[in-house]
Amino acid sequence: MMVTEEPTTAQEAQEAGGAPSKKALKKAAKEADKAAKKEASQASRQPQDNANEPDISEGSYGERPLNQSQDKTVRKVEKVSDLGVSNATQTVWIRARLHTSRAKGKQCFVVLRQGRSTIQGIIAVGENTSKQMLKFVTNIPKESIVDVRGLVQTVPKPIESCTQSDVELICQEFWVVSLAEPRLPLQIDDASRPTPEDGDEDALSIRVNQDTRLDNRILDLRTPANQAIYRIEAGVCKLFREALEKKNFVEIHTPKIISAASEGGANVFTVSYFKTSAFLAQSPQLYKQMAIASDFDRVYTVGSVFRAEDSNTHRHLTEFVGLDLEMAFDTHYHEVVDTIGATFTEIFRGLRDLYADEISAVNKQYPASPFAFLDPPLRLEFPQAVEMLREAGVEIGDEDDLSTPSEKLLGRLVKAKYDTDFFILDKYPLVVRPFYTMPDPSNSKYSNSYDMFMRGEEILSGAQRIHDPKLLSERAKHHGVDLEKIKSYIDAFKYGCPPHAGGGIGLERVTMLYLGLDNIRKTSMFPRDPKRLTP
Amino acid sequence: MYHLRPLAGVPEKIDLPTCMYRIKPLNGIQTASLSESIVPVKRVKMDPQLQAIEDRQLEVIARLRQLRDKVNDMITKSGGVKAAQSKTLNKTPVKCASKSNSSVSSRPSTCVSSVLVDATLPSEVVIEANPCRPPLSLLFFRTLNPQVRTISHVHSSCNANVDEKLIALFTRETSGSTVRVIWKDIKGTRLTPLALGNFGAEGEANVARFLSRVLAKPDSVLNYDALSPEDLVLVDGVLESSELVDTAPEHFINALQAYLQQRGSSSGVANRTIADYVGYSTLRYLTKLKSKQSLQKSLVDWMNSLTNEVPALC
Repeated sequence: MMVTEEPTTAQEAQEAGGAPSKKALKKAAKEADKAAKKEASQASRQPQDNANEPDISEGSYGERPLNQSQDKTVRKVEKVSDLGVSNATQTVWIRARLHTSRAKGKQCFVVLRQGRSTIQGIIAVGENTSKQMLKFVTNIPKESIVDVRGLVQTVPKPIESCTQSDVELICQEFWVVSLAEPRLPLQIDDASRPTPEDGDEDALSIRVNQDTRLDNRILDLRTPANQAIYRIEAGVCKLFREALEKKNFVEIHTPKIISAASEGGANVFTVSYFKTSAFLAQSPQLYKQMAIASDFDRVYTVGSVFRAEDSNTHRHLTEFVGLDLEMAFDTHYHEVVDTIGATFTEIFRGLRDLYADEISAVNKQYPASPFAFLDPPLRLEFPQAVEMLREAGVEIGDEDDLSTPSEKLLGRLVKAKYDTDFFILDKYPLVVRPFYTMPDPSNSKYSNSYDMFMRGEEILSGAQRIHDPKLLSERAKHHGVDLEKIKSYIDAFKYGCPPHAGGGIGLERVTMLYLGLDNIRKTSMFPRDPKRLTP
Repeated sequence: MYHLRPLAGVPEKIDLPTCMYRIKPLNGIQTASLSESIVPVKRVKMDPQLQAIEDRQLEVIARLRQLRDKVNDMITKSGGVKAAQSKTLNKTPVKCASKSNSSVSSRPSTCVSSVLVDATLPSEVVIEANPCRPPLSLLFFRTLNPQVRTISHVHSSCNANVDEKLIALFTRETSGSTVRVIWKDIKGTRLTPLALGNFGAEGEANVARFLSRVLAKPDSVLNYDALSPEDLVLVDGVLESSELVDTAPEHFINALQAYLQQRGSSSGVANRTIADYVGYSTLRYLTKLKSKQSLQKSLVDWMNSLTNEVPALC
């Protein structure tokens, strides 16, 4: 936009062709007087600014030299989240980001942010604080990392805008550790703003769209909700490991570069592998089963899984973190279903009890109902689900697979009747399951397989696997699978293998559904989908 | 009285208007005249999708009719057995109201949908209850049908651990209809038989009314619908006051005592009504809050006799 000087009233009149009116002349004189006064005021201030008057705050502020680990001094640095009334009258050091700063007369209010915690700081010109220091602090760009030493002071009124609402920091030293660019591609406040409720017209409507967020993920991840989401995601992983370790599972690591497609060959990424090609693993299933055949009894693995699906939906990624487990059982595959169900319950309970603050931080930006679950989890059989759907008016055959809308509806029906967001659906029709699924011995139409659902979306698909090479070959032939291509899979069971079952979940999907988020990209730190390979 | 000649000559056939304003029918059905509208209507450009829905509805209605006929048939077939059972029950001092008695239908209904009344237990019902006030009456009803399977779940709203004994008490593995008991942070007891619709029962008394209808034999005194009007007043007194026990415990004790006094010597295992079961459950809850010593001896004896009926409660 071009910026031009505005013409004065007298000039305007002259340009119009006529002699300046009395009123215009009077106005011009007034403006000239005002300009002269302003100049005089600036001139009077100039000497003060430039004067070599002593800076009483010298040595208390400035930019720190680049940290190359030149010093090894030990000092106590407090966490912002720990500061409260108990620290009142203490002088503390904190390292935080400058979230906002606002100068007002001889003082400057700053908000210092550390993770999800914020505290208000004040720099006021006075006995120990110079104007120069105030000016320096005012000019620090937002998002810079600063070291601040200050006196903790209680406040008469709670500071609503900060997480540490009952104290503030009277800043005595203010050092810049790492300077941020003055222009930010997105504002943290904008990226943290919740979607306004319907009818709330007063709420600010400035939002940051998904692509801008993902393009500038470094900044986007600094929002309180994102800080919480990835801590919760880490919690899911930790709780999964803890629950299985307690049940004597062994963590294994399976190869991600494989010679043959693990799930039929479709949707697989091909990579160049020296003089030949290889594939990225779609699932660790074969390796889990080989570990069972190698007498590991109970195994689990946490690792990346790749799917070359051109699905641009809210719940598909081309790379995600798979949490997979496989377990040999004694007599019935329900031993495995119960183990997986109990693992989920432990994860959900752990999140509820240990991550309440994080969940509430996410809910502030993305409101959702608390995740409801039952212990032990609800287990329904496929015909029961079909019956419930039919009662709701869905036309579905006994052996039809559930479509995504039917799954969603079933989730809502289950929630209405049982008040649970998690349930297990057992005994899927054999025709809709892969060839390696064990048929149900009492009803040949069904199989010993199960899906697990969170908020009406499938998160785990598992089954008792056929561990007998003869039956496996028969079933593969029945499904029209080329036996040559799966020879290595069938051979894995040639030397004896215990009956076993298992399943796998996607970490991002579980986190998304637990928090009631609407897009899996919100729970993948650097998501990969058909349209995104960066950052 | 007087025979007058018409003032003006009116023709014998005249097209009189059939309505004040003529408008085009909204449903797409064209009626040329009033007389034609009486004969089967002609459909103009019926949407095939609409037609398919209509056909499906007719099919559903036909299937519902078949189902109703089947159910009626089953009721008729089992009628003989019920009659034999009622003969023995009629000997009991508590009067049973006849099914044909109009007072049965005129009773104040509970929240349970009329669809479920007089039906059998659905394949799966959900009872949500607070572990602080377990619906012990369910245990008595469960003894009426050994095929009723009960499964206990703890809902995520329950932060405190639910007593393992309580979970075990409400768990029974069989292969019949399922009652899922969900221990939840909830004010009272709630029953949900279906996922769709607003059918359900709130409060242990109403849940017991529902269970008595579907689990007790139709002519049994345990069946709420089979109670005579006199007994119903007493039973309802206990049931209603049991729901208000937190605010008016004395009212409940008085109602229970009045009920037991009225029955006098007739109290016995074969003569229990749902007031006994709900009253017992409520009294157990009350004595957990207050001392049992303040209770009259007759009440304590009555409680002990009921406790002995379900060994797991001892």
